[in-house]
Amino acid sequence: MSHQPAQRALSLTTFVLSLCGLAPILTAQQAARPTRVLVLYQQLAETQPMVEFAQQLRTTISTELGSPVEFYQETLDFDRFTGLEQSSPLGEYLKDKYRRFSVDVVVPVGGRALKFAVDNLGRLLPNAPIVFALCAMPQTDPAAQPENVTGRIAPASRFAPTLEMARRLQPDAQRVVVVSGAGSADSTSVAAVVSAAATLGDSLELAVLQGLPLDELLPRLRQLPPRSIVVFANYRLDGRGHAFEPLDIVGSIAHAAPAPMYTQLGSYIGEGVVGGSVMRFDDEAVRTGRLVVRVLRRRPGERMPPVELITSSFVADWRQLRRWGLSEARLPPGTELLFREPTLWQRYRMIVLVTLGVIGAELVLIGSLLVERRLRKRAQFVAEEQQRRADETRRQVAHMGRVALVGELAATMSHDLRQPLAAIRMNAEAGARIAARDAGQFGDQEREMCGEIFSEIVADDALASDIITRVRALIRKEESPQQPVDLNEVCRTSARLLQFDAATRGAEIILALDSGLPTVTGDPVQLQQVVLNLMMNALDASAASTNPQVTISTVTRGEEVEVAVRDNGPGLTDDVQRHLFESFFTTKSRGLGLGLPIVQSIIERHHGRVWAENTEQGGAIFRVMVPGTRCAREDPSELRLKALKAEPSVASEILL
Amino acid sequence: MGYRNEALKDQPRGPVKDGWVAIIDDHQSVRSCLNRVMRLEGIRAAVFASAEEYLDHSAPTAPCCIVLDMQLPGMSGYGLAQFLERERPPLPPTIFISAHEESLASVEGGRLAHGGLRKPFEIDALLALVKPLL
Repeated sequence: MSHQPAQRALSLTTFVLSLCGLAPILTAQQAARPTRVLVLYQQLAETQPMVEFAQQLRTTISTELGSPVEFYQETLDFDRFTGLEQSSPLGEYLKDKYRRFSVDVVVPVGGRALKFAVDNLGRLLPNAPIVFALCAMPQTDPAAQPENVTGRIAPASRFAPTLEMARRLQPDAQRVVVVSGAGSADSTSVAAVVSAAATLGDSLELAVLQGLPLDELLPRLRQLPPRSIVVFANYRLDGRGHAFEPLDIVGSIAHAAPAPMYTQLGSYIGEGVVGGSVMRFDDEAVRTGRLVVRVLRRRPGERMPPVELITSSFVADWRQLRRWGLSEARLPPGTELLFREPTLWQRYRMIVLVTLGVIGAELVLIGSLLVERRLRKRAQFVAEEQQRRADETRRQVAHMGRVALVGELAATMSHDLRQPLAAIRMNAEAGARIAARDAGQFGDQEREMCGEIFSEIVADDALASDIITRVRALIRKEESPQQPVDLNEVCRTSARLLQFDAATRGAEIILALDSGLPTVTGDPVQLQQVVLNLMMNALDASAASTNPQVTISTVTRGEEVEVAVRDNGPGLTDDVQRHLFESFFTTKSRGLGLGLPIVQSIIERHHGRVWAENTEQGGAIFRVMVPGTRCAREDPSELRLKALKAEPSVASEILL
Repeated sequence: MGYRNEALKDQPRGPVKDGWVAIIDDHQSVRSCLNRVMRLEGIRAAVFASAEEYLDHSAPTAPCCIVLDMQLPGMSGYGLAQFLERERPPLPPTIFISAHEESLASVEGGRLAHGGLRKPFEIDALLALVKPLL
């Protein structure tokens, strides 16, 4: 072969050239390219827990690294493809696939993925570090890994804390029942549970339901006696070779179980499992991501960070605790209580607060209004009570005053009464003496004397009864009976009573009465009293003049009736006029001074008024105004007459 | 204020005894009644409403007897008697009359009192005292 040395030289040159040509490309690529992360999922990557894990992992690595990252993932699916772990063609396929992608870190998720990576991909990616996630002892031995491997590993006895939690919640449990599928992963989990149970050293029975297909498992579960602890180990493969994603069936198993079920994976909480000492995928994703970033940031030559231990935490489903009647108080300290249904208070806290606030405000308002009303009522009541008491006191004082007055008056009254009574007696005696005379001695003079005697007796009797009436009026408390009173008649009677007294004094009584005078409603005796008193005063006043004259007039004034008593005496001085109606004020030497106050009191009780003036002629006039009786007109003809009259008519009667 | 002296009104009928009686009482009815009685008996009488009135009057002779009410406005009855005894002696025989027992008791038996009568008194009793004095 003559070409061989030339061909060999050509191939070598091409090779060298190609290498030289590639070199700058390679360098350039190495300088600018993003970080490449290859995630190998032992099982399906599309299940919900894995999706969350992947998302958290990616977010954590991107955020913490700060530079562009490319994620590649491969689903090894060793559950369904059981023989592939040892398959070198799979390894070759992957090597082929990623030949030109320089991977910066490999993240196997699961112990079997880790083994696969270590065994098959080491040669492809000699410098790529491996960071394993979600692995567990004893399946994975952290000490037996090559130098470029690190990761996060769960302890072997992770079922022990779960069982402890179950024992705390169910002190009266008598057995532990382990549920699992038929696959190898399932068996590993069962072994872990069994060994954990053994370490607990209790006198609990241990039953294992392994590898039963669902349609057999569920009825068997339902038949279990109640006081049990059910532990869900794992269920990836049933006895018939069907593969399962445990998350899909945990719920059915949990609801079929007649006793509380516990688990070791956080993702299962919420499916009907009470709780357990769980590994939480989202938390793990974050921590694994951080470890990956730490590995990526190593300086050349630096050793790999050591393997980290996954710590699990206690988690419980509040709804399941309630379902099984398990006490929250028995939970291990630090247990995270999930799915706690907020109470009415927590859920609608704002609404409840606002409502309570409004109701509270309303109650306060109502309360204060009620209090105010009560206070007002009380104040009103007190005021009324005081008023009543004041009135009562006033009445009593007036009464007592009157009574005291009467006591004082009694003495004066008796004295005053003696005079007219004595006069009556003497007059009567004189009359008897005259009557005893013989016919010859009884002449005109004697007859005249008898007339005088009898009229004096009548006058004295009137005076006596006047005195008595005065005092009676003082002590009387009740209202006297009201009846219609004709004041004209009252005036005539008074004039008649006093005519002889007037005659003795030489005084003239003139009556000027309104014939159309309406009646007034009142006490006739008291009104008589008033007129008598005024007339006697007038007689006394006019006694000083040479031609004493007393005029009594009645006049209709609108709805009211006026009675006026006029004298032609000296009139009233200013001083006298000021004190005219005061009790015990008198111009008479022997007067009580009670006549006018009593007159005023009587007239006021008849809703009228009394006052005095001086006349142009120099005397005094006392006027009494009393309201007429409503609807007291008896005669319609009188009514017409009254309507026609503009001025009151005066019918004069002159009496001597 | 003025007064009416009824002293000269209605002279008595029949045989008139000498002398006259002064009647001093502030009550109108007493005066008129006693005046009437005196007239019936044919005794001349003059009535006065107060001590001052009596002192003011002027009559030619002193009365034979004074019928004197003890309770008078202004000067009391007893005061008048004392005054008269002191200023215008001799005091005519004075018969005190009063509605009050106590007032009479204080003057009865006294040298100023010829007699005392409690109101209301019987006319005969008064006449019995007065008539002998005329």
